[in-house]
Amino acid sequence: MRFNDLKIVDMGLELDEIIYKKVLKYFKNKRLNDAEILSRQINLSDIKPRLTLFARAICGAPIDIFPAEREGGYKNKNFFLPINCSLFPTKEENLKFYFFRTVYLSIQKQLNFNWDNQDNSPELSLEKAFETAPLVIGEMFEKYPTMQEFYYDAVPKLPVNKKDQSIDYSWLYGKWMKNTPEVEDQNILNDFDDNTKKIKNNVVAETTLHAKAVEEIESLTIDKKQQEDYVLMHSFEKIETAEEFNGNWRDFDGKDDLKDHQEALEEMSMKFTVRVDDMVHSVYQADFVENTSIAESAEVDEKGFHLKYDEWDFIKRNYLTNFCKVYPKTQLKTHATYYKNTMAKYKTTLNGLRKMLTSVNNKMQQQRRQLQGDAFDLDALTDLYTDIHSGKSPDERIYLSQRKKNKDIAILVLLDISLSSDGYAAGNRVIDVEKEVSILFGEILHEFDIDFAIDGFYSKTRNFTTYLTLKDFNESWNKAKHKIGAVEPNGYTRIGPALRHAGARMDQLETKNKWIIVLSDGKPNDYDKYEGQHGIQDIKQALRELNERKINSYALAIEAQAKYYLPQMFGQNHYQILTSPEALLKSLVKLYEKIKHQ
Amino acid sequence: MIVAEKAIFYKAVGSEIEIFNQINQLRLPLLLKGPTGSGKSRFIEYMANEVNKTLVTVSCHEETSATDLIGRFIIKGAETIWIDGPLSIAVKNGYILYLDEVAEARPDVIVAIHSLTDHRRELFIDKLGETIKAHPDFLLVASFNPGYQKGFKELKPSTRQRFVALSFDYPNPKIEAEILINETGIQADIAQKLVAIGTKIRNLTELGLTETVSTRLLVDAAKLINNGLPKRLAVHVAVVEPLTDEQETIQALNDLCDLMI
Repeated sequence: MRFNDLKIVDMGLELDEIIYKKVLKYFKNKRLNDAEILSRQINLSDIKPRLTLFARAICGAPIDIFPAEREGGYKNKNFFLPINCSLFPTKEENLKFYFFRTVYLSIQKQLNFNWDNQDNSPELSLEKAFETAPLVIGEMFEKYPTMQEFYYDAVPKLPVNKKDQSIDYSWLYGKWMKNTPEVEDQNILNDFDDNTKKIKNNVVAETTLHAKAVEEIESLTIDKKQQEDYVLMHSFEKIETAEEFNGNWRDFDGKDDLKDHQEALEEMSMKFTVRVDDMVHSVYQADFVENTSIAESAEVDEKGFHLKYDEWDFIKRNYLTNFCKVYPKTQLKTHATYYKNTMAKYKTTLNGLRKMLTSVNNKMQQQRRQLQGDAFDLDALTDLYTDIHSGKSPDERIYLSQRKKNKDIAILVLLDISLSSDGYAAGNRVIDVEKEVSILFGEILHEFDIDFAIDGFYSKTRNFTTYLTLKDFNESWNKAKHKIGAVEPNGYTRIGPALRHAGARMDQLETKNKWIIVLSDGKPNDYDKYEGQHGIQDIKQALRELNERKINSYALAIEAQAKYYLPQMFGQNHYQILTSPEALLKSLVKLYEKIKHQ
Repeated sequence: MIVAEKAIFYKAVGSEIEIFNQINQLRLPLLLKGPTGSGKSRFIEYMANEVNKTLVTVSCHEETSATDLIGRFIIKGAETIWIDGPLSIAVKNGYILYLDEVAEARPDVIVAIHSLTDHRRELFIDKLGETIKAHPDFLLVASFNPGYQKGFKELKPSTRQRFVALSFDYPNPKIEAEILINETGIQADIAQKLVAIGTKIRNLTELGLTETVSTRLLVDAAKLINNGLPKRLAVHVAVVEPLTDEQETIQALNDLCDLMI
């Protein structure tokens, strides 16, 4: 989810304001950097992978963990935990606190102590959590007696409310949150004016900052009138301030001055958002998965050639017929130096690959019981002896030969070229890893005369999945190899329709052995709610369809985060997570070996 | 080739014993499906013992060929001598032949057993030019692990159709605890805790681990605990470490075990 709707006013600063700002900054930094606190503080981001697995194990459900605004709670399958914890005097205790909260939430979830879709005040939410705590704690001690020790140890150390000197239990008990039901179709937002529907010049976001925690989002419709009116009642502010949404609309200017406003933004609640199709210069990014409503894409190209594909609705367990539009396109732009540079950069890797693949192919070339060859086939030789001794005329085919017998293979490499591939994994830009790997793998496959295609995909909602063919089956590699470098990240990741289209392409081939290899950052998302379970289940279903049609699939992911998603979609042994081009290539060759030897 | 001799413990999960007895009477070929360490091999050993038949087990691997099963000529001095393979021995003598992980074997193995799995019940030995009729008591049992090598090594539908299939899964917690107690003599409360850990980690199969905790791993942990190793340590080495090499996952699983035991 991206926030780019906050217009922050930045006017000239007076001297006293500069001083005020400096002093404020000093105190803020002091608070943050207190060495004593830091030494015992545990940050959620550091232990998130560990906690995620832990939570999934005890709940038996694909739980995700997100930072909370304060004490946190749970919402459907998402647990919200404090961003950091330094409540207790030692690091161990602070770590244990996170485990305690995770276990607590798992039991609270099991007992279903949460609001059902009605809004309640924060005070009431805390109160409810406090009321139900004894039940949760009781259940918890019964199931996990080891938690008792921490609990009784922790209670006396809890901070005290300033107002009435009572113990602030909220850190242990959290608060009630609202379980969000599926968003209904009526909530579709399609308030885009004609201007926003046109793609403006290709502007790339220059600044990306991570936002603070967001627990809840409400999407608003743009009120153009109010926005224009705002200029009239504009009050001049002289330092960077941001105010929470109160019904006033301001203009979206899309300037890249986010950094200057970071401090102001951190003070804000990020509850209200709007969707715009303007290009952004700065990205203030917060991870969020729940309750975003469905938005139709502003870019609808009804006239362009497109195919319609179904999408799987796992809740209703049926297909949403003709739900997605896929626009097949062929890449025309080329980038000549990219190919050359890649080849130069990975010269040695390529040689190594060549060797590996040659040995794979050689293994296949060996054929038994031939009339001529380099070595004896021992089994055949024994038979020959037997025949001679029993007086039969022997079979003379007793050699092992190196003859070539190629298996009938077609490989389709499917690249995820969504905007998320613009990110970095282990110091490598994901899209570059994808491009380099496809160039090198393509080169090798070409040398060994194996039919392959390289395609890419990105989406802008269900109405607009672009499926870009970089190299078609039977297309000359010498022409196609220059196209790959020209691919740039775009849009979002809606893997399902792309997989279905790739499958349809494969169906047209007569090859026996068909493989689709997906290179992606692993997380399905699109801005009309393709995140979370819906996306994962749709991809699973698309893979099931492929499987029925004897098309095999394998996924290679370039980000460590993928480990929470890929296994759910592709199943055991059908995915791998790697970050460097070299490692990726090696595993591609290994996969190729498996394919040949299956 | 392993021939089972002594009596063994097996705890029935469903009606598999009854099914096996029927299959044994009708001499139908049987396919056991299920994840690693879910008791497939143990079940067949137990049943062979129950029906008082000799069990011949062949653990198939990538290089297992029809020759390995049927038999081969060897050269001895200036003569060639025929040696029966485990399959031929079992067919002739009416043993139970158990092909463990049959999907791993080379395709010619599958072809070789086809004629044994239908009404013909005969084995053609090409090298001898002979066809041998199966002994009336001969029974063919194969096992494979469906999740593990999907896409790479799968049984062809035409082969699968020839077998009656029994699905194995990890037993429910109560039975699994009973198995642990019977196998290792461990205290009931520790057995229950171990099983609870197993169940929790199995929750994760779909989510991040390629292989999950088998009953066998839990039995190992119980043995170690029974032998005096501290509980948490035993679970770490016998359950967590065999599953993964990834530091983060090990850490998370250890956290989980420390919570549970």
